[in-house]
Amino acid sequence: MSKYSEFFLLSSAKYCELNEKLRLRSYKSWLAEEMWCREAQGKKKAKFTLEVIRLARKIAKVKGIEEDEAFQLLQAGGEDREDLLKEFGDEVNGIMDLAPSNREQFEELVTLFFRNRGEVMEGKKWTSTSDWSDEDTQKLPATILTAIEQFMADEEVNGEETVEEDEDAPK
Amino acid sequence: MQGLEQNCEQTLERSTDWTEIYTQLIHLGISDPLFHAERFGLVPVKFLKSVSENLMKQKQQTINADSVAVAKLACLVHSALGGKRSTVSLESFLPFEKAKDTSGLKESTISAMKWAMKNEKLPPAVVGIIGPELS
Repeated sequence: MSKYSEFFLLSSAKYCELNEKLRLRSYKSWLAEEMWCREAQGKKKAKFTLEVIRLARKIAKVKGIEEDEAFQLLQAGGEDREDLLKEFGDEVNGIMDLAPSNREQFEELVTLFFRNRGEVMEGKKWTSTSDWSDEDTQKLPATILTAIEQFMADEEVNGEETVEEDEDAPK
Repeated sequence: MQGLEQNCEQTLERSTDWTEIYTQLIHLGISDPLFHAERFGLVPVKFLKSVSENLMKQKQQTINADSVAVAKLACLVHSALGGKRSTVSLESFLPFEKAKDTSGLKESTISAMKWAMKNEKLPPAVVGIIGPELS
């Protein structure tokens, strides 16, 4: 056993039971791969938003309106959007194709969580779900997805936890 | 819209440099299989931060220990030039701050033990053992 692994490998593993046949291991922290996946998603979102802002500025200049108004127009539906598409159709469509979907990004993280921490009950034995696929994630019921979302939040909070004060220590 | 733009720019700038973290661990001399490239992504971030901080502290203390001879010489030169009024400690010539709590004891524990040594009759053998740890 390695010098540091006893910190978490030797201690009894804790799990989030999603149902009687599916569970995720808790490390009280996100894993490095999960964290960089989420950061990559955040970057993608930020790049997309900056592109939308750039286009809103261009539209504001051409139409002689406020930048904020142009930004709202890009997000609006109905007639306003139809008018916008007539003038800036190619650019709007080009940017909107890049729009990251919240649902897809969440599913990507769920798949990663199952590959890294998931276990399934096969017969009487818990087996790793390291071969978990996007398709498996898409078939998960909403209740389990909600539980996973909560689990992700809990793992993040625990990861930022500081050393607790010992209440019995003399002050 | 401007606030949103700033937030997005910050998100792009602020993201963790994982290559730097990995390189730092290698540079600090960690060779445990737990941190090998092929499974680096599976290390809990909280643990990674803790290991990195501890290794950094150890490295700094090693550098400090290696610099003691030079620091002593510097103290000597300073005293020779500054005369009797010269008050300089060895720590001021060390590259890194000396670890404040190397014993691993909490401040509250140290103060409680000091109080006990002052106000209660502790066996001299016990005082002899714990005294240097508390000073």
